[in-house]
Amino acid sequence: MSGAGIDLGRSDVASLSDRERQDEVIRYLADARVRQSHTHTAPIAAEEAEKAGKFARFLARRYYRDRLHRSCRYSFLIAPQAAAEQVVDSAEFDAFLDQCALGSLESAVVVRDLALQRLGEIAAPGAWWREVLVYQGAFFLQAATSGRGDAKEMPRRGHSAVCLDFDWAIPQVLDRLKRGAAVDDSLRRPATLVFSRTAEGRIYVMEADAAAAAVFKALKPGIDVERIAGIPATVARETLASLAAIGAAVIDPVTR
Amino acid sequence: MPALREDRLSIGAFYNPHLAEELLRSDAVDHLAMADPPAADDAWFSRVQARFPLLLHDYLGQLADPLSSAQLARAAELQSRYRGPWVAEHFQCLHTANRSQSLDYVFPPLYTEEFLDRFVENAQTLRERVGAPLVMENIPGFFSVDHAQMSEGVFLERFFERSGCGFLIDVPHLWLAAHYAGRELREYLSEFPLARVVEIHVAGIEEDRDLEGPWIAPTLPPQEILDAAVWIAERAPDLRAVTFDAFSPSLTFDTLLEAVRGTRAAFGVQ
Repeated sequence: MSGAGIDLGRSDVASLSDRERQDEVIRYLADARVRQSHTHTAPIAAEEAEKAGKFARFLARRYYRDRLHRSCRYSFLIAPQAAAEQVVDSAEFDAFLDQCALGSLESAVVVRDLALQRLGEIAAPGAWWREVLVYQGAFFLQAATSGRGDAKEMPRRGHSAVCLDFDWAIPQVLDRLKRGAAVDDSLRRPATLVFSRTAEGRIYVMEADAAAAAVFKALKPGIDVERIAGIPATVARETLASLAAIGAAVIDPVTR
Repeated sequence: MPALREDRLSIGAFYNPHLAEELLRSDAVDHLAMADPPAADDAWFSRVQARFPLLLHDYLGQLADPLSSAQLARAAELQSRYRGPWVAEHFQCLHTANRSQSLDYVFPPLYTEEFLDRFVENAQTLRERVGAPLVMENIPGFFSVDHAQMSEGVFLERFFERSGCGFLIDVPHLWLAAHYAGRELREYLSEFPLARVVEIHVAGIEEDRDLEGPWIAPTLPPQEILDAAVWIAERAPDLRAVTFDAFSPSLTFDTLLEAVRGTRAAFGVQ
């Protein structure tokens, strides 16, 4: 997992500003590995470490409970007795807290998988159910990832961004679930969605056309997007700019 | 746009969108504090806004750091929308300066000269940009951090003196700060500039499994909290509003109503 504290020597610690010391406290609370390291530089006395650790667990449980609640509204409509956020009260989640790095993509993936495992035990109300869960999982990754990753190379995909192909017209399926309407086979048609999050924390779910899906899937450091097979250069440039605007692509250091 | 009442203390609550319909049917709540902007599909909000004075209590940005132009513009836009008598922020520093990590929950700054300067400067900038008075809310600590140069009470007193901002005193936050510092509440309160108080928050306190101790909860304010709130009010000549601070999908209207009625009774507001 990313986000471990920087190992500072004693002289470096002495020269820290108060603002930098506060950052050390934040890193200590956010990342279990920092708390477990013997080299952390947070100004927390040994006799306060146990209380700080309790507070860190409180923060993490609260954070993921909130993000699951926000991200799994559609499965809750179908099965309110099995809300996704109940997973934060499980023994598996308790064990995860000892490795949790709040807001990291790696931790979000662990919690998503715990939640999907639990929701997968619900009797499927229709053939579209599995895809609703996949949609919620992808949305959750955006909602529960505040880190922006360490990669510096451009262009690349947004840190938590994903592009998924569905067999059902998921936006319409979700709209029907929200309205309490039946989901029938008329909605069984392919849809491709890009899930992303901007540096400011705004989450987007965009229906991707063939060009957007192709550009996103081709994104990797150093690629010349104007040479993606089958996509005119002008379209590729505009598509890349659109993906960058929603945090699905990173094309310059400013948008990181 | 309704204005906060002038003839007596205003007793209100936070706007919980899932309770909007019942709020509109009730006459117990005088004002609503807005923790989030209304959702685009909130069909009730236009009626809520026409009916209640609204207090901006969103996350506008952490005043430990300079707010970005986008944050300042957003704060000004929200205030122009709600037109409340003041806007609120918190004494908090919850994300790193480079924003790479966040606690996603209120967390106090180190109480030092450097942070005092930062809060005063950034609060003044925010106040000027929104064009309305700014009130600042106290935030409890759960554990002690080394390197503090002054107590929470002294930090707040000096902040209010230098900035001219108002004090939004959160009584459960103070109760918790006193509890975890091993201090008696009234004695702890005596360090705070109560004459600066403009708004009071009351809320419930419940045991938390991780903390193995009490923490804020969206439940009824216990009598001890209401008694402390009244005690503060007697020392706060500029007090205008008391707000039941609960914002949660799990909050029921019955709890909200009972909390507001209990608060009205405690303050003798009919």
